[in-house]
Amino acid sequence: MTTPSRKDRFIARLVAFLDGVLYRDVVVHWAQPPPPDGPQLTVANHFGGLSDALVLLHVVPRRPGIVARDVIWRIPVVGWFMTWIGGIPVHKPEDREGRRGATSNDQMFASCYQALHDGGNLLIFPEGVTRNEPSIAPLKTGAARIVLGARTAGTEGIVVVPIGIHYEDKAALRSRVVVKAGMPIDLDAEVEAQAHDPAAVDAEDRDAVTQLTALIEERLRRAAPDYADWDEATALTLAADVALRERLDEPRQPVPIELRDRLANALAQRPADQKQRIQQAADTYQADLDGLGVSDAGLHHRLSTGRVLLSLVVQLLVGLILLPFALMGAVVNLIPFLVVKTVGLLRVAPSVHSTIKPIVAIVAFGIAWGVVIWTAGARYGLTAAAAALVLMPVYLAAALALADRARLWWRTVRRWRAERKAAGIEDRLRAHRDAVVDAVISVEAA
Amino acid sequence: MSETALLLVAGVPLLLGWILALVEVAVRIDLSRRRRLLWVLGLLLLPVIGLALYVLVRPYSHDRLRRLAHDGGDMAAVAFVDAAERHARGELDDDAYRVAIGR
Repeated sequence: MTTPSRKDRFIARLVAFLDGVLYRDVVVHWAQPPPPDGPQLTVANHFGGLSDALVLLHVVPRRPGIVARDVIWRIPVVGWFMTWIGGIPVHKPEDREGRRGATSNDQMFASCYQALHDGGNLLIFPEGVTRNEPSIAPLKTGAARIVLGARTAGTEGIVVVPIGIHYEDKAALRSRVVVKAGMPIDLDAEVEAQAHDPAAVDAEDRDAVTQLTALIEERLRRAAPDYADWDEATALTLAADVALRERLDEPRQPVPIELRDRLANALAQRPADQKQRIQQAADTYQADLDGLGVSDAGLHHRLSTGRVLLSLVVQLLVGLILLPFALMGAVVNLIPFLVVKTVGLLRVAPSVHSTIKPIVAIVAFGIAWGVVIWTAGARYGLTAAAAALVLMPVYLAAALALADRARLWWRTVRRWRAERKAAGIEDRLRAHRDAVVDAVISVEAA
Repeated sequence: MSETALLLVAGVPLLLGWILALVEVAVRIDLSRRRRLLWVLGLLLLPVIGLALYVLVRPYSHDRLRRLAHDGGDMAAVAFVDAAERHARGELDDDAYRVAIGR
């Protein structure tokens, strides 16, 4: 296992903190444990702009060097951040006015070959652009050319690891993210299996590049969300959630979103008529749920009045313990938090949201905390500044925990109220729900 | 802010953090004995500054991330998803899929 440098550790802590602020939960699922060392190319879907990079810097154990379009270096703060973390710029013809007017990618390829030769981990988003659609665009050939070129330059044992990033809601603050790593590709074994003359395969070999790109795309599609449009994504996700809830060992728990997304992705590959039947059933059931203002999970299990009261008491006790620290957190972090929240109101594409928000969060929280630490130091000395440095994240965590508890309690109350309302239309709800489950498990033509 | 309130909102988390840092340094196996001793001395002599420095440089563990493996749990749900994926990839025909999901 490669030992992380001090800078690696600091960056891991920094992005873990940022992700902790931006997301309620970040979970990972590895189809196989990631290689502990050796040359690795990580390829990922690109729905979330800068957020994708931050999430991957957080969850990938060996900090990857990010290969990205040079236009990113022109964005204030982000450009500096990319240079600091050792990003490698790619020059694209459409960005001809790019950084230093460069148009050749010779330097980029040379840097990538060297990084892989040194046993490093590179990260590339092979679609080439951030996407708003919930699907994988046809991949560019850059990823395949990088690894084949590095192999020709003498680097052996390169592994390509496809990673799918699943956002619960990429534009929302404090939503959930699942990172799912697919089956890795052993480059040497793949070239041996596919090529007539493995020794002659290089980055200029069109057939080899096309074949490898297709294989990377196939593995990435399996790991990442891949739907025709957002309507299909929403309907199939609900259908998968409903069908899986029936089969959980402990149905009171939420359906693991990793399983839900895997099933929804599998449903997306069904024939059009089957997909349409699932989508119609899910849309009808969703309309029922919207009318009641509740989720499927909220209706699946009865909540007694006693249980709601017990939940209220427990949440209140925890809230009382957190309250003094959360109040401090609210005072110090309210302005930067509101600034980040306001960014969410901008009428821009979700992928733009997910790029702007981390930048604004870095700047807003950085300034607010800097002011507090500097003021403490100027007034009361170095020890006070050090105390402020330690306490800022503690107060923020307490404020976020209290807000999450309040949301949890509010959802419990809504569930309880919706159940009472649903009592009168129970038969219709049950029929619509059963239709969703039936459409998911049925493979007969409609 | 009164002294009692300050003690509560600042002193309690600092004290807890300081104790946790001391315990963590003592049990860390990636540090040499000399480095461990230096950290312990730093935390004892300059508790707040030592704690702030330690918070900045302590290693980040990816083991803290919540992992979804489903080993031994939710087997029916996992088997259902596996069957649906294999069916989507064409590895199971319709009949085999029905058997796999217990229909």
